[in-house]
Amino acid sequence: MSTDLIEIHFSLNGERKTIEVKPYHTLAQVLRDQLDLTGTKLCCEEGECGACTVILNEKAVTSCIVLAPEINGCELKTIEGLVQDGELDPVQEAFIEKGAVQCGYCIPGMIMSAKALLQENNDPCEADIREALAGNLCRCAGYYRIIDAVTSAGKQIREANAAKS
Amino acid sequence: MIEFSYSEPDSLVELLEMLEEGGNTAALLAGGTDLVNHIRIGKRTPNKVISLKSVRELNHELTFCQDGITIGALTTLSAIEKHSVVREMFPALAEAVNKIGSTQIRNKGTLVGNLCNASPAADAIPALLIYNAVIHIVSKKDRRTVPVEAFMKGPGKTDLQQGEIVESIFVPTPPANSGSCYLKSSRRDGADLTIVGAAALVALSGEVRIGLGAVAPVPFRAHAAEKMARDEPVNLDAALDEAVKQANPISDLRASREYRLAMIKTFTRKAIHICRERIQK
Ligand code: FES
Ligand code: FES
Repeated sequence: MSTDLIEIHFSLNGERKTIEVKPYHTLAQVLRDQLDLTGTKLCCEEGECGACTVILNEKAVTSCIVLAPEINGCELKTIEGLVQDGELDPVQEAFIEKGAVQCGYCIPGMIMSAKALLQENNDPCEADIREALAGNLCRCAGYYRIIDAVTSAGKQIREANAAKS
Repeated sequence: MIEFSYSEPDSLVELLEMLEEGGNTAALLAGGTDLVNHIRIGKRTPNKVISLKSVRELNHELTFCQDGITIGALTTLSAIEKHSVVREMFPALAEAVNKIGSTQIRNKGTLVGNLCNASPAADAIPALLIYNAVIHIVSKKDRRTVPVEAFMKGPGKTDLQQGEIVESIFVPTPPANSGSCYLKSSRRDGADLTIVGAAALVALSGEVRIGLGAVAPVPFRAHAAEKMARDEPVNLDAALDEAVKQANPISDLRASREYRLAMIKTFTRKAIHICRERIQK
């Protein structure tokens, strides 16, 4: 059995990365402990709470149950990658504006789940939002404002798109 | 987490070779949503994890032909629930898959992986049962197929032998003029384990199929109930009693045995009504 380091290549927030990882480390561990990207939170570490949600190949996944070597060749986005040219993402703006953040611990995961949803469907109904966020728990229980924020972010994105075209 | 090695074979031959060599110290990784947790809690202690991800013969896609759909070893649960053909022709499967875990889990987890973990409460299995799905198995020496009904052997136990893997699941097209559906009873709507899972299919010809999950060590087809429901459609209540007789649920923190037994009838009856409505459309 070789538990030596494995070299992996992937895209991280739009930048190419080559790093060496332990085969038995999770993606969440690598992000936080190896790459110092501590925006991704760890809580249950069993795929139940959503705090560690990242976007892997355009899909929201919980990074605490992804093995680090699995991301070889993948495109990865974390909460740190949402800011563009110093500007917050519309989803982040909406969370602030709607007062959706209390202690904040669940928020990076909530935002990544919301972001993945809005990339696929920028006009979700409330049921779509609830389904997309069903795997993200907020123990401050600020769910209503979170749903408001995602609704409003969708609207912002649609308006921005309309203005562009 | 314990230490293990990780490999990513790129052909089936190489994979099966590794699997044979690794014996029961090797674990297969598809979506990993169960495996990584099982390793973390010590339920499994592999010293070698073999990822299926790069095996070129294993399919990430879902393919369909006139006879039915083939779900690959790497087809994610999300890909299945969102597929228009699945939604239209196999609504019970789309509904059951949508009830598994959360969006994040479905984006990563695979149906084949879910099947191989053989949870008594697995949502998709009752749906696979009513569609008479067939499991395609491959090993170094052989290929064989097993009906899904014979694949499940007990909680966490399947018909897979050492050195074998599930290559795909074939789901035959349901009979003409039929309706099907899956209903789940759980404490909350999203991301919760099933108390009772009821899948049903009703055809205009009178045929009725009932698949039940979370009420016995393995999900099962309620054959006696099906026969009665076909022969005496007005006497559905008596038919459902047969389904209850076949069940042997446990009591756990989610529900008592008694509650589960009661809910079998409620949910199956509801599922059959929905099927009947769906035939008309
Ligand atoms: S920490 Fe990953 S889902 Fe809870
Ligand atoms: S804001 Fe505190 S857990 Fe969600």
